[in-house]
Amino acid sequence: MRLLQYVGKRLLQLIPVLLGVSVIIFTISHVLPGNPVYLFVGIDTTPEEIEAITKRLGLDKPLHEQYFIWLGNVLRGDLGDSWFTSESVAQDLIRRFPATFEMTTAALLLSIAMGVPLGVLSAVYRNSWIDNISRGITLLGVSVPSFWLGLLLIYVLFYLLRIFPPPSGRIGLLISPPDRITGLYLVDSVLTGNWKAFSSSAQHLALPVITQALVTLAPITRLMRSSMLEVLGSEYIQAARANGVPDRQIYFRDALRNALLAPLTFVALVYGNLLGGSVVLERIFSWPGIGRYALESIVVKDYNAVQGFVLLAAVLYVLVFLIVDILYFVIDPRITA
Amino acid sequence: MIEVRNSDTLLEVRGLHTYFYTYEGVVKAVNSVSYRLNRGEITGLVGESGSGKSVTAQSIIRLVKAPGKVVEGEVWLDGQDLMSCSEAEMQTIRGRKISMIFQEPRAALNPLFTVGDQISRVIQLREGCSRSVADSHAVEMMRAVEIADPDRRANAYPHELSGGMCQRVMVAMALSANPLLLIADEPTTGLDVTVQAQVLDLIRLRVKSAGSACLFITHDLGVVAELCERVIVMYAGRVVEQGPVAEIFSSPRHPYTQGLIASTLRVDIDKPISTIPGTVPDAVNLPSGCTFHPRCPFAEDLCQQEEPQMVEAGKNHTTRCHIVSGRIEREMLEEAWTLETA
Repeated sequence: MRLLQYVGKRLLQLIPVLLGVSVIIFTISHVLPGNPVYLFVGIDTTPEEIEAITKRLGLDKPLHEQYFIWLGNVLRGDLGDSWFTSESVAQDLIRRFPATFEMTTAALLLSIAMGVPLGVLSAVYRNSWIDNISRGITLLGVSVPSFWLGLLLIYVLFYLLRIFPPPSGRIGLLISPPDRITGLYLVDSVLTGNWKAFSSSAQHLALPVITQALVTLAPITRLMRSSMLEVLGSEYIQAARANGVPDRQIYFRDALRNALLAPLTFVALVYGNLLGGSVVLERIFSWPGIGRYALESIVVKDYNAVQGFVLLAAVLYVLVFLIVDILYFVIDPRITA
Repeated sequence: MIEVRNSDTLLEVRGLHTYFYTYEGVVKAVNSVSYRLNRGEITGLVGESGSGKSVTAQSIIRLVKAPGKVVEGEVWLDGQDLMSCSEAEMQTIRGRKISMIFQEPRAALNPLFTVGDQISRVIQLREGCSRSVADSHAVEMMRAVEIADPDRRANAYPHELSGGMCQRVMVAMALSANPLLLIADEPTTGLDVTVQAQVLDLIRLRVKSAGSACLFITHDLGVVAELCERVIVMYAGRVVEQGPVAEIFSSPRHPYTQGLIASTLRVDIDKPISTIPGTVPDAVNLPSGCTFHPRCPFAEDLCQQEEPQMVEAGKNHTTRCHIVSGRIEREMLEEAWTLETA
């Protein structure tokens, strides 16, 4: 009941945030220099024709009127058509987003699954060999750029060792993707019982996910370590020890929950960013996600597509933070609605 | 050393040294400290901040935080040397034979669990009983420390309770064990006076009725006079004087104790409050000889050169001072303290 109230309140608060985002996106695309009408017309177009096209596109109307028309379209799910793919931007994004979502979510889960235990262990066994190993891994993760790491992994794990398939997209070239239900190949192939597609898409997912996870793992581990150290030094942990609570319970029951609070925000930040698509990794692994779509749209000045992408990225970011706020609310009783 | 144990002695600390190895040097936080606690008695441990009171307590339960370490000493609790126990044995002693009440109750409670949960958890660990049995026991304990409406309060989180209420929760948790030894580390700082009195009453009642011993750490001499049978005075990691409360208050022998008492506000005597000049010495570079000599109004050359030994100053009353031991012939005048600040 308390939770529902909190979620409702947070959802209401999203309305002004998203309106603000829409104003910014609309304004930016309309203050860009150059008249978009010229993109439609040839060199020998008469001024009358230009005026007619301007009228047809609604660009002669006052700016605020144009905004409301655009907003109305957006609310109906119409983000305009892409001049490059000549399809609706919304369709383009819906088709590509699952690729990004699948990769980044898998990468994030992997980096949490490794980073949290590694951080906890390095805090509990501070300055031991395990702490030093984790320090080494995280130092590498922080200092190696993702494009280089991606290329290195492709070179070693595909080219030299042939463990993983070539970076040719989400699934083997000769294998047809599973029937689309969610757009996530792993999920869809399980749902349709298509094990051939499952195995191929899992293998194709591996390299980009490992690359992304190694990069994300580093800060999560460091943050988890410092947060855990701080909690372990706190008065209530000392008090629990004085009450005869065994170490194992101290670490996993008393300390861990408290120590997770700080890294949670960071994870949200990373996830929000990643969901907007990793331009670099999607390019290296020929991954058909929204990051690559955005890059290509920018190159060809496809304004509707760019606008649609930025709007989607902003909405995803806001949603991730909504989820994290709800998680905080569930974990930490000090947060009230 | 020949085993001489009084049957009333519950805890005996012998030659305890706890050092902190910092970048600046070795801090001798507890330096050759020895004392005894008797059953059914509350012993006050007083001294300024940084005198080593809390570290003494942490050393007893072997929870000194790094870079601190007990380097030497024995701690005998009811015939068992805690310093030679394994860590696993120690874990069964903490929360069972020894309980501790902390200075800041709200900081000493885990913010993410309800207080009932936290008391119940300690009971479950100790008794090995089911959750529901422990839960009802926890509510009983909360009622015993006079928390009104314990059933409802058990479901409260620490941030939802007042400081005094949290301190009662800590007391309930500590007393639920029926410990042989209760260590209370400044349990009443930050509480208002009426709540303070209630918490002290709870502690006194339990110690007296259970025949356990209590080490009561404080810098409040008023509380010591009110609550304790014996008092131990620490200065810069050393015990400088210890004895029965009545005797120490009426005729303190060590100049530091005299200074402490002279600087306490009293309503019954009309005299100005004095202060002890100077500050607690730097823990890394302690003064030579008697560590108190730079602040002592009676100090002479010998005090700077040679460290005084513990000497008898009365029945069950010992102190470390060259004047008391007779090495220096000099009278200690009470006026020295009032003159100093006049």
